[in-house]
This record gives sequence, structure tokens and C-alpha cells, in this order.
Amino acid sequence: MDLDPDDATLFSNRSLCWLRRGHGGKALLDAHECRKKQPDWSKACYRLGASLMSLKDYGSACDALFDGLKLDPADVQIENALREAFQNLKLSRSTKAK
Amino acid sequence: QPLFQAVNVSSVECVKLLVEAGADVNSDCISTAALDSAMGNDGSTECLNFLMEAGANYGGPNDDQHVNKKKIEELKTSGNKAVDREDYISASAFYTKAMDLDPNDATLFSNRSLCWLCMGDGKKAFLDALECREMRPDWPKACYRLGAALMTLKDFESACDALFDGFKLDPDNAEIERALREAMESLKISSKGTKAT
Repeated sequence: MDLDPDDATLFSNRSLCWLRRGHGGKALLDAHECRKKQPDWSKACYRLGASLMSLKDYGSACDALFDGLKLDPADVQIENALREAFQNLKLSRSTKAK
Repeated sequence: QPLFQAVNVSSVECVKLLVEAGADVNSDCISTAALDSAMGNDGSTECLNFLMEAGANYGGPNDDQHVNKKKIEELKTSGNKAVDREDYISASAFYTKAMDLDPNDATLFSNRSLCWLCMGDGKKAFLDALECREMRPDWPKACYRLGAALMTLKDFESACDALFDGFKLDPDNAEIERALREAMESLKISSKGTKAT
């Protein structure tokens, strides 16, 4: 990444690493950078959505994953992640309702 | 109610004859004449003027507003009943008439959009749904109507967008969620088709 700061895949991969190690905030920053560099890459949306999910920002996660699904409607991974985000959004809303 | 019928068809001559024969000028006909007159019917304006000269009791703007409100509710109710019996042609006519009296009621556009949809006119359904959405951007039902119309027009991506907005406004709405899933599924299928070609 120090050698090629424009490579979106590096940010994507590092975002995944942060996520796996439980650093949601850093994962989000890398995912954002990835998305900025390659806006039409569905994987970038997926990384962003996954980061936001770990931070429990379900509304924004839905937005990001939804964008990703529109870019690649056949991506089952994104579809499943979006479904999970929907479910969490509903649960979080019902929590507020109480 | 001969006088009412005469006013209803804006027949000035009949109205004059009936009044000369002793008809009561303070019956419901005054409201009908005022209503039609307000809608630009010249014949009704003549009837209204004649009736007032003959001694009809007419309150003016305030009374007119009250009459309109009642009429709008009646038209709405008639439209809803027509929908219940699946008479969408009549229903859309009732809603259209109500819109002439109250062009700012989003529920009328929503209901009429449903009528167009059921009559198979996706484009008109879309136009009404769009108007409804613009009037009440935060109304989940407006998003649902728009999504349904876009689905019939096979604009699946835009349908997804509209239904997604509706879902975020009301995540517990099962109808919207189901429609959104259908839209996403349709988007997936159409996407595969495109790629395969």
C-alpha cells in the first residue's frame, strides 16, 4: 500500500483484516477509502457494509449493501449480507419502539 | 327533486320555470350550483346567480369551503367503495373529481395510482405515484405505490430504490418488505439475462 496507494484491492483486503481482528472503526476507514477509489466495485460496497454492520450502524449498512447489490445483483454474498442487515434494522427499530 | 336535477344539468331555463312554479330555492340544489360553478361551469354560475336573486340563502366563501369538504369526503367514500367492488374505472373517476376540489391530497393520488395499476396502465399509475411521493416524501405507502408502478414498467432498479426507501421508513411493513424482495429478485433475473446475452 505504501508503494501503490491507488490500489483499491489493498484497502479492501486490509479492511477485511481489521474486521477479522475486531477493529470495526479501522475496517470502516479502509472500506471508505476503497469505495472512493473504485465506486463501481460491488466488493467495496460489501466491505463497507460489513464494517458498518460490525459497528451496528444498520441503516448505513443497508445503504452500502443495497448499492452493492444493484451493482451486482447476482452476488449471493452481498444478498445474504443485505438480508441480515434488513433483519437487524427491523430489530433495532423495534427496540426503539419499546 | 326536479329543481336539483335541473341544477345538476345546468339547465337555466328549467331552473327558472321551476322557481316560477314555486320550487324551494333553499334546497340542496344551491350547494350543487355553487360547487359546479366553482369548477368553472358557466351554466351553473347562471343557475347560482338566478337562485340567489330569487332569494336563495347562500353563505359564500365559508359555506363554499364547508360544502367542498363534505363533497370531497363523499367522493372519496364513493371511490373507496368502488375499489372494494373492483370497479376501478368508476373509482378513478371519483378520485379524479375529488382531486379537482382538493389537488393537494396525496391519498387521492395514491388511491388512483392503485386504480390505474389494476386497470393495467402502468404509466399512469407511475405518474400518480410519483406525484404522491413528491407530496409526501416520508410516507411509506407512497414509496410502495411508486415501487409497484415501476415494477409493472419493468424498471426493476428504480423499483428497488423506491421500495428500499419505503422499507427504511417502515421496516416492519411486511407488504413493503415482500415487494422489495420481489423487486430485488426481478433485478437479479433481468441482470442475468442481460449478461447472458
